[in-house]
Amino acid sequence: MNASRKRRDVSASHGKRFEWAVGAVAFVIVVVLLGYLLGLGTASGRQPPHFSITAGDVVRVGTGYQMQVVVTNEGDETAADVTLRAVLHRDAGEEARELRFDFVPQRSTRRGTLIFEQDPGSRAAVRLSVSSYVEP
Amino acid sequence: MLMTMEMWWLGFTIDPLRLVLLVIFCLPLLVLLSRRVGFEATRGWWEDVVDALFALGISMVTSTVCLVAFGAIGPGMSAREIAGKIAIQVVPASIGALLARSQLGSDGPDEGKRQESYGGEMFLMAVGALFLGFNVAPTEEMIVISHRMTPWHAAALVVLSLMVMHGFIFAVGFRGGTELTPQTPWWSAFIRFTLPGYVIAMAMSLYVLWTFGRLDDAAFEQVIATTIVLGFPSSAGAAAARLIL
Repeated sequence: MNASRKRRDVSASHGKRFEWAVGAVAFVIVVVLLGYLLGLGTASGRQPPHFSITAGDVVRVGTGYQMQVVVTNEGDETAADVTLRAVLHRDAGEEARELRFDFVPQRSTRRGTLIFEQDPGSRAAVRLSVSSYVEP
Repeated sequence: MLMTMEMWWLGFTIDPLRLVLLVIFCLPLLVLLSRRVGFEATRGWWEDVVDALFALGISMVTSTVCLVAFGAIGPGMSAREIAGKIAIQVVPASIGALLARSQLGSDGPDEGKRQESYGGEMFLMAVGALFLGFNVAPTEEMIVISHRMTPWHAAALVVLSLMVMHGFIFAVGFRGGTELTPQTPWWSAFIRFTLPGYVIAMAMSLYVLWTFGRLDDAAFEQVIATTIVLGFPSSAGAAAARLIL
């Protein structure tokens, strides 16, 4: 009987140690998280949103020509309502298109697709630019 | 949930593989949950599996009926869209179905005598976090809030979450169950229960956000911020889980 109680005590202290070990791991994770956030907060030179745009290949789908565009926000702040303008110059005339992204968060990318009636031929024929954004 | 637009949209925008993974992940969770709260005092694992499947079936039928009544599913929609809309509702609905007993049902004679093990405690926290996280994760507000926050706001929110959680755990812990007593120093409970609970809640938040595709194409900083925002309600859910279950 004495032995069995001793065994129970041992297993209880094992359980306790396990709980403390789990707690310690969690403590380290939370401290690293807070440290990371404070590091970000004190980092200087946060840039306002600015964008890089890459155009994908042109694919003929149905009667239109679809071109995927990828917008990347290179700044350190989120931009909302990002408007991307695309103008296709062809002999038959100009085609202007607009894409709106609800949000392009900092250092993140968003995808969209433009649809033209005429074959752009190459991506170079399409002029792409971000014309506006608002702060979220 | 059934009346949330974002949930309907997720039904057809979500990656089907992630949806399947979610339902698969949900099954063992339901079995374990049934073991603890369940419809009836079960004798064997087999009965828990049956109960879990029953909860899944019930929630599927309920979700379908409600979605049809709301006009969220109807003719003219693809099978994939309809299946997605139902499947995404099934997870919170089936957890809810199992919880209904502990919330609405009468207390059994063995109620209150149950001694939770440490692992069981952590499991209940995970279910609570998943349940509450699931309820708010689809909303657009989660994303908008995380976009507006600076790292300072995020750090403050982490501290606030921990405080709310600890308050819950300390208040609820005394209701019996664990060996938490008024004599336990606050830092002991904080390290052994609150911190692991918070990390579990964060992990659940991360998983739910990933499932919903909220983290796709997002920068690391953004992933962290969104997880912290969702971690606030889900950590409260984790801490309150013992109160409910």
